[in-house]
Amino acid sequence: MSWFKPTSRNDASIAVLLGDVSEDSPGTEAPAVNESPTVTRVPAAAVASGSPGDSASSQPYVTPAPAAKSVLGRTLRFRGDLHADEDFVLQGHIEGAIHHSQHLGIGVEGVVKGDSRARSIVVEGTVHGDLYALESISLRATALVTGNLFAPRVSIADGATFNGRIDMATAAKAARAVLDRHEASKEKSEAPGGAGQPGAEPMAASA
Amino acid sequence: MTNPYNTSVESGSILGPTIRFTGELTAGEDLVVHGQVNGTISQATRVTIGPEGVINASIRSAHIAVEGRVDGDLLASKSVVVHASAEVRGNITAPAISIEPGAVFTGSIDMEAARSPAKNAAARP
Repeated sequence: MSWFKPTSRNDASIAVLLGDVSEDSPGTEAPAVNESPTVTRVPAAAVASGSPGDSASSQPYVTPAPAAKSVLGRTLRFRGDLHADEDFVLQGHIEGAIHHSQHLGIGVEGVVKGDSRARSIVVEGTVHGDLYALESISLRATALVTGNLFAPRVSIADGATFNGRIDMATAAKAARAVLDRHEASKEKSEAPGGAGQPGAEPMAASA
Repeated sequence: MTNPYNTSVESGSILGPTIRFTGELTAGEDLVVHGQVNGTISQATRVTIGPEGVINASIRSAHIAVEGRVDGDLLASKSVVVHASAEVRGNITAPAISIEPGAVFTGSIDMEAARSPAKNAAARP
């Protein structure tokens, strides 16, 4: 029943969505949100008032601070490549490759058709494809995975459905090589104008 | 088994600043983009491009709000708002369009086509 343990990160992301960050988090984030120049939400609200039905979406549109956690909701469908350097939980559908330098969560409603690479991966949803993790892969009880797992540490919970091969022995080396190549190609492609890649630097340093 | 994450995603999706998409993106509800998207964004109720968002894509949605940079066409069935911090290069097609002072916009605006889609369809065989 670890579900019911309210993690602070989760609460924060909900708070951001609901727009009451300033009330719930007395930390340093609240002033940053309030002082942000993007708080001029009047036009967006004014536009939304044109359609009377959606009172929920006519809430002032809170653009979360840059540090806000990403949410890939259940209605999101994506075909192509996804690159990310921040933690997120996927609840939508992705057809294509995921290149992630941190923790990747595939939620209960998440569906991935393609290969995923990350530092660590937790699967609660459906995956058709190979999973490569630098550190660990965890298949929770609700997971349905068809593919191969490559990671130094792999755990499969009772109830999870898994069809495929697991490689722990060569996984650390392989996953590291894949991520290194990804980092190298990313740095090369972004070298001309690539200023702000906060996640890329620590990744390269620790790899 | 209930998942607490489910409650957090009910109001749509947020793509953070380090997320880069290349391809077709479809969102049924609200979508806030702070990262990069190359390709197309379609079928959303409301798309907001945050101040850090960099979009090389055409966007189709009911409502579109731009605070960041967009290279591509905006096609909205209801409204487009270009905020002061925005930089847009592309054509806007929507029945209601507002551009705040300070915004950089290069492109053409078409309000007629969006108001009478039938005429628009006839105009483009």
